[in-house]
Amino acid sequence: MKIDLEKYLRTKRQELDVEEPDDVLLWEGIRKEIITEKKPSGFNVWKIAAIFLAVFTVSYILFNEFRMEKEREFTLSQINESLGTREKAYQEMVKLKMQDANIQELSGIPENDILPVLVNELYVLDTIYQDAINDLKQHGYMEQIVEIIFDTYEKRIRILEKIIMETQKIEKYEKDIQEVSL
Amino acid sequence: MGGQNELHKELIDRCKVGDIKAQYSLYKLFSKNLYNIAMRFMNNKMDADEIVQDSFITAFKKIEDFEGKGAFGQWLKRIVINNCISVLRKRKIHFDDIDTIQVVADEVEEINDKIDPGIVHRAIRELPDRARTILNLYALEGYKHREISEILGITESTSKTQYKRAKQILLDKLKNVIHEN
Repeated sequence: MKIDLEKYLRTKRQELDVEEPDDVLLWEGIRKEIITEKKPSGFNVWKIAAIFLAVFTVSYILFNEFRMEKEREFTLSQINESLGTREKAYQEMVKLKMQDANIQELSGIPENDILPVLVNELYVLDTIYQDAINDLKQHGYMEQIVEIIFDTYEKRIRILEKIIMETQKIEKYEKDIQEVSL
Repeated sequence: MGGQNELHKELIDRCKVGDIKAQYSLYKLFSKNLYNIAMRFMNNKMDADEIVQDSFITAFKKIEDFEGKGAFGQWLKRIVINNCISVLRKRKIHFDDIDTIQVVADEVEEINDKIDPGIVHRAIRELPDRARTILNLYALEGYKHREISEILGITESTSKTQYKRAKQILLDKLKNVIHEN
């Protein structure tokens, strides 16, 4: 049936909306802008970051100690010697990086919003690791799960390296500031 | 409708205290409609994306100013349309320019009601800037010629002539589809 163009446009108004917006991209732009806008002006945002960092580091240290206990209970060498050797190498590397990162001291570092994120990532990795260990205990050897375990070690090392770099940058910055003020 | 307004009101109240989930819900409720409006006005994705983003940012920042007298969707729509017109103005599109196309009086302006709205949407996008803007404002967004004349700084009679011309071009574009149907 033929109808007037104007009538068609008005009656089919909703149906003309045929295109889909890229919601992920659009929302991300909006979210960033409104979150930036909401940052409290009278309150030092670094204090918030410092609180997060303190909470995460304490949680991480406690969790890490708990994990080490669990590791003593179950290691990949119980599956086969080669996996055990590889795991031991990773554990040694993580231990060294943990010492270099001096994670216990991180909560004393002011004005940094990257460190809390990195420490939180370590925490998440440990959760993944623990889940994988539980799966191995429950279902026995599965190559995919073992790869997840090694992947968490590799990522943990990379994050610890980033933490070391970040703390070195802060130390250098503070040293430069001191030299300038002297 | 009442339930929908209640939902909008609840979301708006939560947005006023900075609830990000409520802001996202409002975004999802209106983004598709607003994006399509912006696409029909601007005829390119990049401009439409930018206008929709800027409009939501403005709306969330000024949500305290929304008194709730009209529908929230209409308020948002006005922000989007104003932003589209503002961008078109910056591009030096003169809405009062005299067109060379002759407007034929009493030409048949009918269309098959089974024609796919997607085809019509795309044909609107392809209209020349002035014709597209006026057709969008009058036929799709419900503005009166008097309001259009104020928004675009043209006379009511120019608005009417441009609208007539826009319909002719649109019908011309749809001609093949109309014949097929």
